[in-house]
Amino acid sequence: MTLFAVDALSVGFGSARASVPVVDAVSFSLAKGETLGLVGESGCGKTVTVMSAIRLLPSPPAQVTGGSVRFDGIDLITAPKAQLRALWGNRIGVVFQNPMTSLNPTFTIGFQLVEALRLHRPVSEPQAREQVMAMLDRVGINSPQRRLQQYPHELSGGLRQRVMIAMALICHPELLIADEPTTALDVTLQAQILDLLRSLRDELGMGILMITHDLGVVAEFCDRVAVMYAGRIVETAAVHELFRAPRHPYTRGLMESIPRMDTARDRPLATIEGMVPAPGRRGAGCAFAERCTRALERCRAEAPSLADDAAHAVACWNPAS
Amino acid sequence: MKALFSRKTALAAAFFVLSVLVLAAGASWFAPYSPEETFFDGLTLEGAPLPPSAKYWFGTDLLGRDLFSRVIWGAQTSLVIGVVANGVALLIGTLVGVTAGYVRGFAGNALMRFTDLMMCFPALLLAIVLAAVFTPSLWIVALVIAMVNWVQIARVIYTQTVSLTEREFIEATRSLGASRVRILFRHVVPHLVPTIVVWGTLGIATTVLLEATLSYLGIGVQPPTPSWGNIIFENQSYFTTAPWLVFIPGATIVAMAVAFNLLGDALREALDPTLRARQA
Repeated sequence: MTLFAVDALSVGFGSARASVPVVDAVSFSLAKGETLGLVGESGCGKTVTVMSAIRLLPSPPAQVTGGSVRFDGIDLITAPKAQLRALWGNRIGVVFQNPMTSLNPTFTIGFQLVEALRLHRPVSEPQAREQVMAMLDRVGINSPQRRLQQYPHELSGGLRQRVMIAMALICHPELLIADEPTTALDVTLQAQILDLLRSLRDELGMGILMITHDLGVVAEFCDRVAVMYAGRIVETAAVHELFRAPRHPYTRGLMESIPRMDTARDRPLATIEGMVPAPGRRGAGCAFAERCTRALERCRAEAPSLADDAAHAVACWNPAS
Repeated sequence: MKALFSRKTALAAAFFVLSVLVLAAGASWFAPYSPEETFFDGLTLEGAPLPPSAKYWFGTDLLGRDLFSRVIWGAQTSLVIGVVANGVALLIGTLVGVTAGYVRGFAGNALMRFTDLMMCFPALLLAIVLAAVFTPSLWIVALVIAMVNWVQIARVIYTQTVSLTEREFIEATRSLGASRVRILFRHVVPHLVPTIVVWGTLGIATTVLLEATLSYLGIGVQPPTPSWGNIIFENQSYFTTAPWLVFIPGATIVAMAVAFNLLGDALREALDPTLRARQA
């Protein structure tokens, strides 16, 4: 059953008259209990897509210029602010990239977690503290009683990210949006946090939308993947399928760029030549055409669209088979 | 509080400010004479002011009044102006700054452009114009000073509010479903408190100095009510023959300004959120 469906969402930045398109007709959907990875390099519009889909991006400057977003039957694009606030933190939880700066430095962990819970649940302060402690215990923080009294700067990065996750999950959301939750952490911690998210997903049955630029995280964690490039989804498939047989030249380029244990030491690392075109400078053709080794005449003239409803969809005129 | 008094200078400054406060509050008990009483033996036979002596600790002024009593009563005037004028300036500045920084858009821009406009005005000129329009009295002078001084505070608070609202934890709080008003009062304003407190103390020094300037120009507190500024103003012509008449109130103003600045510095350190958190 579809929990979260984004359909042809377009987002622009700037005023209504001079809007620069940043996200162009992006569609994806997420079922209950499913994990979708949204991959792409920095600046390709992953975060903008998701944050504007749940209306968390301030508008202006961001403006949804087309498409629809439905969360459990609710149209998020037209929903009034009050209804959105009732969803945020309650049925939709968000974990941000940087746990170092996403907690308020002037309040204790306990204060912030209790606030997160009491914004949506009519529980008394002591009841809230009890639930918060249970949640801290669940995300693997020991001696929660003591942690409640501590300020964010007294905790390590890993602990803080666990606190952020606890805060996002305190109301048992059906949809968890994880915006590069492990990027600011070191590799051992990454594995721990992913394990934690996985077990919580299975336990609570929530859908997870994972925004990341780390293909390792995707392979490890996601059921399905959508690859974004320059504000569009260029390829989407089940995770095994995508890693087994990537079809879009960009996806292939990404995978080839991952250094492997058996890569010859004296060979330079594989790269994708060129740069991502800046928003507003994208021509009529495929945005990747300039950098693509398989580009045809048609690629420069006409933008390919993503094949609908296919298990493995690719937006390319000349995909690898 | 421990961090606040860890430095001896801050402690000395606090002690000085406190004793001036006590002296000013209890001026009627502490001052040996009335500030407006002209003494028969208060001038030399030639009519010159008397130098400091056992009877007149700071000497007498041009009219034969006791300078020590006038300085103590003047402290009352100057501090009332310092606290009231600065309090009003702080209130206006904070309201304008927070509103503009939080609302932004057209309303926020309009507020800040108005602030810029006020800032472009030479403060002294503006104060002179305002003081000329309204008849100077203690309260009017305080208000005039507030009208001049709120602009810097508004700018500082505005910038802080803007930078705070862009911080990630504010976005994170939004993602929890907190309302705008709640975010403002629970998550933004507490971060502004240190700034407000520091400007509160530093501003008192500026205000006392501005009052002194206005009084010196004759548009401040009107005689015979003494203020530190107008004591200097009245006695300036005797500067060469009776330098203590200018030097003593001048030194008091400087000492007060320095003390408040030191106190403000110490408060800033003590109120740093992460420092405060460490002690808690």
